[in-house]
Amino acid sequence: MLATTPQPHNAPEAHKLVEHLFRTKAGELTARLCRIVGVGRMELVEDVVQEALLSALKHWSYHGIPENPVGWLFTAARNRALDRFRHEKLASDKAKLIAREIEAALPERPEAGFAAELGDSQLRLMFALCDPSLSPESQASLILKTLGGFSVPEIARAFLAKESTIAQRLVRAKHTLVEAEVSLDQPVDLLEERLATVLQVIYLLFNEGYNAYRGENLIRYELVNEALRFARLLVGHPLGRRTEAYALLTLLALQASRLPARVDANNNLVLLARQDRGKWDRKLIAEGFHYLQLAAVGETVTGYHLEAGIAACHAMAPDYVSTNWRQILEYYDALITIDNSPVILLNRAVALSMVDGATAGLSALEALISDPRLQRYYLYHAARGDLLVRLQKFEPARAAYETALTLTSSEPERRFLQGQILACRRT
Amino acid sequence: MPQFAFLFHDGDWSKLSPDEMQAVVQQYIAWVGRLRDQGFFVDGNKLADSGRLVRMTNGVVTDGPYAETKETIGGYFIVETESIEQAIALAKACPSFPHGGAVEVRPVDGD
Repeated sequence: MLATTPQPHNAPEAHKLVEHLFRTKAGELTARLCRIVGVGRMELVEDVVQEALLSALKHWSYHGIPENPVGWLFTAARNRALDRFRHEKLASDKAKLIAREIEAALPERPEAGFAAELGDSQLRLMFALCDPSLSPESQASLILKTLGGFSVPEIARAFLAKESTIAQRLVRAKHTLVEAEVSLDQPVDLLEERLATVLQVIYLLFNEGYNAYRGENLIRYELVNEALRFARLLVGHPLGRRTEAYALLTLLALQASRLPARVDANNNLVLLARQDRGKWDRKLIAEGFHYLQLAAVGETVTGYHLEAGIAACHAMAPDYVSTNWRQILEYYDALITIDNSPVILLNRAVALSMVDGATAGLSALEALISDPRLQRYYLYHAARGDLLVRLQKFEPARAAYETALTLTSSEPERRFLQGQILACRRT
Repeated sequence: MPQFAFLFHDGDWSKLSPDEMQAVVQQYIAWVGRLRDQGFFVDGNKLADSGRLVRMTNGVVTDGPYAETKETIGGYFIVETESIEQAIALAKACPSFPHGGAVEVRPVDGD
């Protein structure tokens, strides 16, 4: 049978597509088309991009992956967008003009220079979506939807929200953008003013992925990777060549470098003290230190700088005990002057315990107990348990871990705390 | 060796995310690759999303039920197997089932 089977001319190719190709190209196409037709037509743009991907799904399933998949997707989107504007009711002069622009702007084979323009469009869309009329949650959701190519259910999973909540949030946010007549071609100084918000949204996305507070998975890699992608896009563009952007990318790369060691094979949390440092991602560490150098130029010191400095101390340390805790403590002291949030005070107390001993750390920690936010924060009680264990006060330590256990619903963290409680009972 | 046509009744792909769409493409390509490697695959084509339904009884040519409707036939394969049972067994691996798709298996009438 094998020998007699004729080979069809349209043999699908065996090779695989680049991971997340559809998702990243959806983001690029959305940004490019929004740039041409305006943020106000975002719904139409999203339809067109979805149709182009759908068309690829159908064609490629039968005919295999084309030689130039990206060019194929861009052409498919262009043709659909042209179709919409040419057939728009009454085909107004404006629609005709837009059609001509689309025709000129989306080549079948992206030429040199087009990549830079694409990056520019994506960043402009990101800055536009960080419009002050939107809440940080709306900004982050919209960025994931349009630039990240996430579906509504995927965003809902990422933020552990209901699909209907996310869908409503997106609809409302788009209406707000239309009413505010947001444009992608804003003057550069206006965009610069918004850099802080853009950095904040990227930071928020990363933190959502880095430490999930609920659910089975401790880390949501898709969010971590998107945040890294956006940060890299930003520093690759004149708008983002600023020390605070470099500092943020340093922080994200160094934090992400530890992720392979942060959970074990059974999806259990592994604390920094016990991580196998050989598993840390050397490439991300190198990237982090590269941008740390760029971040250190000039006088600006932001919270991202200080957090990046702390992450760098960990990245450089051969093990937990010989980490430069004194330097870390200095960074925390400086960070408090910028942001004296209880979580930073908590982390400072842990650093203090490594410099001046567990008793000093515990006093600093217990001085914070009146803060109701920390009372509800499981890491406060877990950190207190750790310090009590170091002081060999196992019964109060167990009680602290028990309190922590009631405050987290993340499964890996619950298992970790249960393990600590058992260990306290045994000793 | 008897030949069979797989007529693909498309599922609803429209609600899929880009990542999920890409996964479907990869599954299809892997499936077709296996059918080819095992010597079952003869030919296959996607049908265009548009078409005309020609009814000669009243001489009226209408738009087909193709565009924008569910359950249209999106394409076909021709496979060569020992029996319809074997063809059905192969069709069961079609990646469109989780998305509401169906495969109509029809013997090619060679007599």
